[in-house]
Amino acid sequence: MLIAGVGHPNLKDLSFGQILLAHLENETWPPIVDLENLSFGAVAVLQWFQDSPGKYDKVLFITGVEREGREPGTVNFYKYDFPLLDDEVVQACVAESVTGIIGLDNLLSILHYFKALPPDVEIFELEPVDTNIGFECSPEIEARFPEFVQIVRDSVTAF
Amino acid sequence: MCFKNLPIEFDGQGKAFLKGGIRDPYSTKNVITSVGEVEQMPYETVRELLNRNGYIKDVDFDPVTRVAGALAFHGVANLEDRKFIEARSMATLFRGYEIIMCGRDPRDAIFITSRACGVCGGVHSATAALGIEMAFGIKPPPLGIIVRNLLLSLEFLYDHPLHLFLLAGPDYSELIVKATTPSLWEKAVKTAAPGAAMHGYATMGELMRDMNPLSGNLYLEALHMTRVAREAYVVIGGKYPHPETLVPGGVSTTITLQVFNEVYVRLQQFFDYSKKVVAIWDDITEFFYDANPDYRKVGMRAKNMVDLGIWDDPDTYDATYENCAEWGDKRWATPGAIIGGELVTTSLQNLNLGIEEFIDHSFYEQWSNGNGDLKYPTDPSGSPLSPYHPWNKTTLPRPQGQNWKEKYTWATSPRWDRQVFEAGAYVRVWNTAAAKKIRPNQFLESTGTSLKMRLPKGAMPETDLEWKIPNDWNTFERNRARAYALPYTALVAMNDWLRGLDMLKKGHTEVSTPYEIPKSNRVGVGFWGAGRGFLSHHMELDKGLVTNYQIITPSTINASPQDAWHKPGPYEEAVLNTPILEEFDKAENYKGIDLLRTLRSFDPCMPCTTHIYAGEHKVVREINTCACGVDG
Repeated sequence: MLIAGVGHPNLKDLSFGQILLAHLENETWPPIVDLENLSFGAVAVLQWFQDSPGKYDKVLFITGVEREGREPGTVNFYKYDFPLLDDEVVQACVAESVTGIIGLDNLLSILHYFKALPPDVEIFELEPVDTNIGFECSPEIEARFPEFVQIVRDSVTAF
Repeated sequence: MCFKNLPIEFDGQGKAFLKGGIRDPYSTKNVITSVGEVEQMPYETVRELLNRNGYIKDVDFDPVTRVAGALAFHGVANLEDRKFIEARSMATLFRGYEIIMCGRDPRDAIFITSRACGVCGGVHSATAALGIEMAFGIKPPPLGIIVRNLLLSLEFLYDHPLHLFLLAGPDYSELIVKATTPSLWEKAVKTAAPGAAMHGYATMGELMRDMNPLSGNLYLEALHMTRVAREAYVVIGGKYPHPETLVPGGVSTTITLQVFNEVYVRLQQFFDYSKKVVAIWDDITEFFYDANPDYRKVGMRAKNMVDLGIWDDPDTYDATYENCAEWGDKRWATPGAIIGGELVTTSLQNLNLGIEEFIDHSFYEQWSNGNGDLKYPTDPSGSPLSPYHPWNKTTLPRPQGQNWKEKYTWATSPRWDRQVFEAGAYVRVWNTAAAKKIRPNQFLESTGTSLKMRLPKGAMPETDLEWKIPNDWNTFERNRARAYALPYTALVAMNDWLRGLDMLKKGHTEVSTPYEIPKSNRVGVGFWGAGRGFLSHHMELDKGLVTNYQIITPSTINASPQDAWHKPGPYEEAVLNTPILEEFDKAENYKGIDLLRTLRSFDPCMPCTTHIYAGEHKVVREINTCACGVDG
């Protein structure tokens, strides 16, 4: 199983994926679990997956992302449902990826389109409280890290 | 005498001086002579025509897709006469690096300005390093220069395939051609491809099918090749696109035979790939010309272009402004200004003197009244500088509503000798071909009218290619020349690799030079290039800190709006000259492919960083959009 952080660095809660991942690296995990920071261009991430086809049976992506109508601090944990993809949307995602955009939606579209994902994909999203420049998450979010670690542990246990 | 509009003359020794007898020599009210002038139709006339005629349509692309960053384009098309009567290019985001850099340690520029771009950040790092070297008065050891050249080449080997097959390429794919010009597709499936022996496609239809996005083999192969180049880059740079090893005075990594070998096994893959890429773009270009000669007019504009040259000679480069004309001439890509198709200068100093930046139609405040007290009336050699020169410029952002008659973009209007010019990979190919100054070597030859290239044997045999200065300058020739820029880049890298190997064998392994940060007031400039051409970083330092920083990027040049003389920028000019050749039955089905092909032929790369502007010229937040983190 792979636990991966995704997002831009140094933007407080928008960097939640990377920051929580660093925190998780200090925890003990079963040997079947790999932790990886996949916060780089989605095409490069695709090529990273293609280097080891079938290596993972399950991936958990962790990210901070702003979604309309969601309260700051909200956690959404869900299974990726492999939606039907429009070719033009994927093409736009590739163009964005190779020109510097980093984001979960972009990443999922490209990995899904090129069949690089395992069948079991879970998403752990956080609606940011603070999106200013900063190396750490906001205090409100930092205080909830034990809760977030437990969410990840539950996902690993279920696997 | 390279200047026709600026008030600069040269004495018998070639030293520039300000022409006498002119009351206000740099006034923008002075009359200029434009080469290849293109006029926008007056705003009121366009509105009137739009209101009166159903066949005159607003054509808006916001954003323009398959380009890097935030570019919007507004056009007005006369679908009956099949031409554009209005064209406005808009950079929709503010790039605030000039402001972010002020008050910082100059060395920070290498890392901060790199974030100006998520495609080609390394070029900004290198340009910053060059400018700092000039200001500090230091130069790298020869191997440091070679390694920096190699990094640049590897960046371009990533960048050019990306543009040719992922961004611009799909415009020439089966999917797009079939949807926008069905008759052309019918012809393509029946037309034999002249370059079949090189690229393997029997017909143009087969070739176009493999240009299809996501599924075409050429698209997928380009994705793979970008990885090969990226891997080679990170062997030296540590990361891409934001390298960790570029420093003032060289690079901060240890270069060994193993490093060189790891680079070579990847570099050599581009020799065969280049042969194929050139054959593909030769065939695409000739197919379109043959199908309809009017394609020669698509994206046409005057042959006005400027490049600063790249890839320094380790025996000549000394980082001084005083000697820049000499070391510039020794670069693998010769600096130069081409006006009306003629190479008018290759002197880096003249190129610098001729650069001005205007903001008459941009969201900035004027910093100069054109004749006030100048911070730098002359360059470090005593030659006259314009009040609009980057060393005299201050960035004063002023967001406001969009108004076609007034201000409509965050891009400024850089001009050379007050001429509208374009930047691009092709300019360095053109300059080098025309100048005949390329250093003796076994792979490249400049003839004055062409650039000859000898690609080593790989799986394919040794191959001679020749890019000839074209008669027409348009969308297709931009792409074709960029395709030739790929083998050119690979062969420059090969030359540098061989020279570097020789240095390693002789034990000349130093790659950086020690320095101290000077505290006195001084200026520097990095003259360099991005994948898409011209890139300069002008800086002023005082008390060891940056007091002014000015970046001119190729896409600022190409996306520039009208200038002080109301002359449209390069995208705008090229679109105004573009005939509408697309096939459509009714206006609603018009897709704008000729316009989009034209814009993409410039390889637009808008600075892909968002800053939120909070007034008082402060940038309070930066969102980087980069592909950083790909470690070697």
